[in-house]
Amino acid sequence: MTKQEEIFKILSAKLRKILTAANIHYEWLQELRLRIHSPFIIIYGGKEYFLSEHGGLERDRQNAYIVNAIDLKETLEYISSFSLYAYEDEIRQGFITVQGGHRIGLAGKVILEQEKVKSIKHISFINIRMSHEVIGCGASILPYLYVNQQICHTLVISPPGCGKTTLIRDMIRLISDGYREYPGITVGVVDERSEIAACYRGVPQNDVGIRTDVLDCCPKAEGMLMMIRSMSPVLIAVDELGKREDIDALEYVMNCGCRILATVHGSSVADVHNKPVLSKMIEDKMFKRYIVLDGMEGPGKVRNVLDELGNVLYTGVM
Amino acid sequence: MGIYFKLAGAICIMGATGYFAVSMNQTMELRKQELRKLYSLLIQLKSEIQYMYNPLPESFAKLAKSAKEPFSTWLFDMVNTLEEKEEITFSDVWKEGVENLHKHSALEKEDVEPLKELADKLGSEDVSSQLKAIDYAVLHLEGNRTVLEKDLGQKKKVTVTLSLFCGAMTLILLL
Repeated sequence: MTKQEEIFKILSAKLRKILTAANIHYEWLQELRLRIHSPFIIIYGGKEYFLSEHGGLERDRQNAYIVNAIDLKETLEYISSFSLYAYEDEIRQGFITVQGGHRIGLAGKVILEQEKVKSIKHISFINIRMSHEVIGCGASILPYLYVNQQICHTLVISPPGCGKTTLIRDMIRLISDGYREYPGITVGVVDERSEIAACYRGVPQNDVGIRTDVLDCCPKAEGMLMMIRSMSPVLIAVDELGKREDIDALEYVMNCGCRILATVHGSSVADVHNKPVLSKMIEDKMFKRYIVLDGMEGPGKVRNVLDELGNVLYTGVM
Repeated sequence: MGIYFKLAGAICIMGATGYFAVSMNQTMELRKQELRKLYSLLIQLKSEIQYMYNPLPESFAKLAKSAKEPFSTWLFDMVNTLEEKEEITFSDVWKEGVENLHKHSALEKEDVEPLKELADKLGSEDVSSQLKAIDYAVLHLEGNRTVLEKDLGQKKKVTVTLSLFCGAMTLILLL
């Protein structure tokens, strides 16, 4: 199924008609934004455009098509296959992953139960983020993660929106499939927010390699232990470490002889060292490699790869 | 010769009224069976929502495979329409489907009314609200079935008696 078909499957008939008339290149389409009684906006080739009723890409909002309640209701029904209840857990997190790995962000009235988000009602804002894999983006740094043909415990440090998930996804694929002299190994992915593999009905929509098992929508701490018990992975990959229980599970996994590939928000090793939950692991030199991404140079740019002593092994951004 | 024609006419009239009575009774019997099947379908749909968390088109397709006519066609038609995704909402598809079911089954208006009320609940509400709505519909159907079963024997007798009485009266009038 092409990207266009995947997107058309979830859009209301009216919005489909507008996009058809727009005649755009779907590989360049990054986001579609639907907000009630607001212009229909797309992010296309890195720029924001308003779409007119006849499909014109406009910079002036006066000519934009205004999204109405029917468009939103219809789109939401198609996204959820007419069954919002089937996606209650995902909606609680604020997004649904659809076929093709595209992520649908939802906002509306939040329903609380015992001060926790139970659901979202009256959904009036939809953000469709197109899935984009960058095949091969992890290849240049992969050799720096091996010592004696063994993959090291690795932490990817990156500010938000700098491509850490895209990078880790490609690294998982390469590690799982095998790359050059490095043979493929069994990888367990605990994909709490369906960002890495983007599973749709249990099937990864992104290429995560032939030796990869995915626990989708599973809390990281619990998932890592489940993976060890059930799938005997050589490496476990998780995205966005943050909670105390994640770190406890991580330590357990490392002590089990399993390798770790994880990501965390931050701008440098020193920055991550200041986080109370991770500081001890860094001091104890549990991670043997740090990959630091650079937010200043644009998404996906690796600033450097460091070892546990802080020696620079690779510099990507000069 | 005339007596034979009269005899044949009398047999035809009595046969027609008898056939009418039998067909009325069969319709009532069919309604009872269909109410039971519908009840069972709704219970299955409830467990699909409660335990399987399957989307409605998937659940309908699954139920349609094991269901008998006219429910099988009803469910399959809805699945096809929902999968087309052409300017539709679930509510409209469900209401139209229920109307068609009413036309092609022995169910009466009072049987399909609780189904119509599910249109705005299924798919769009949370699990517990949907389960309550299905329970409410099931309760109505069960009520209708109980009333029907209770009165069925008596209704059958009345239908046969009235039909034959009408036939006999017609005969007397014609003779």
